Amino acid sequence: MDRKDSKIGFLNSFKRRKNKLSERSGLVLFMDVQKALKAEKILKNAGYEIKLVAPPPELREGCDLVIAINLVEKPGIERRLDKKKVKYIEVIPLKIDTSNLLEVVKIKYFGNNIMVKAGNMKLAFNKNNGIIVNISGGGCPDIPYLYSKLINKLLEEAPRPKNIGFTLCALMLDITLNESLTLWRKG
Amino acid sequence: MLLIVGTVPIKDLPLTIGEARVVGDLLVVNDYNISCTQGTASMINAAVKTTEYLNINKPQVLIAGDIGEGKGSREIYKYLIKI
Repeated sequence: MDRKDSKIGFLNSFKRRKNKLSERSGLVLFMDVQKALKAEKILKNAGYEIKLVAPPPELREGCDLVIAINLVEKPGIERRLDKKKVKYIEVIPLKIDTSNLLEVVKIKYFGNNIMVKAGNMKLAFNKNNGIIVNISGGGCPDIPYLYSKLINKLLEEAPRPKNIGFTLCALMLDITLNESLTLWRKG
Repeated sequence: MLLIVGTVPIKDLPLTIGEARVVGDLLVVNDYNISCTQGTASMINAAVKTTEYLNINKPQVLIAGDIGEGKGSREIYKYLIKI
């Protein structure tokens, strides 16, 4: 059984037991149990619906405990742990193919506007003045907030979604902003 | 009675219940001004305009501020469970 099959097997067995994890789940891996327990407390206090679980041996890269999260909340969780100085090894998706797909960036030209798409998020800006004219896609709970903070702003002055958002959509939107900045600076 | 429930992207907006009005480009609920951008606010705005056109009672709204952390959503769920 390879690593991917092992993950799917773990996912299926967990689904049967708890019906909690899904294809959108991820695992936060830690070097030692103390860090995992501390992280669980921090994340639960912050309101995240997470679960301390024991992964199969194939997934044990540090200690015998991992935290199962909703992968869409990965950026917010990473930032919270970094802020509280809780070190973790990495956050891994239970379905590896998903993260590869989400990193694909596509660019489309619409007259005076350029639309950059990353995963499920799209950002459009005016190529003449660099103003963000639209944000769409997602469905994550922080999207209306990110929209209110970025719309009608210059690309160079817009806040970075990964710094103010909490979800995978924010991370994808940050990729679109980064790509848009590259295009804008090239002229 | 039409009741619209949802969150709006204003961090410190408390749980607010009242009749929604549209004043200029803003949505007004009690004394709070809310931009009509995306999500709940857009839906409320459309509902207000529709009820005005149909000359029926304006929608009542139950909203709370939430910038994506889930705080406002949890406040709303708690309130709905209680009533």
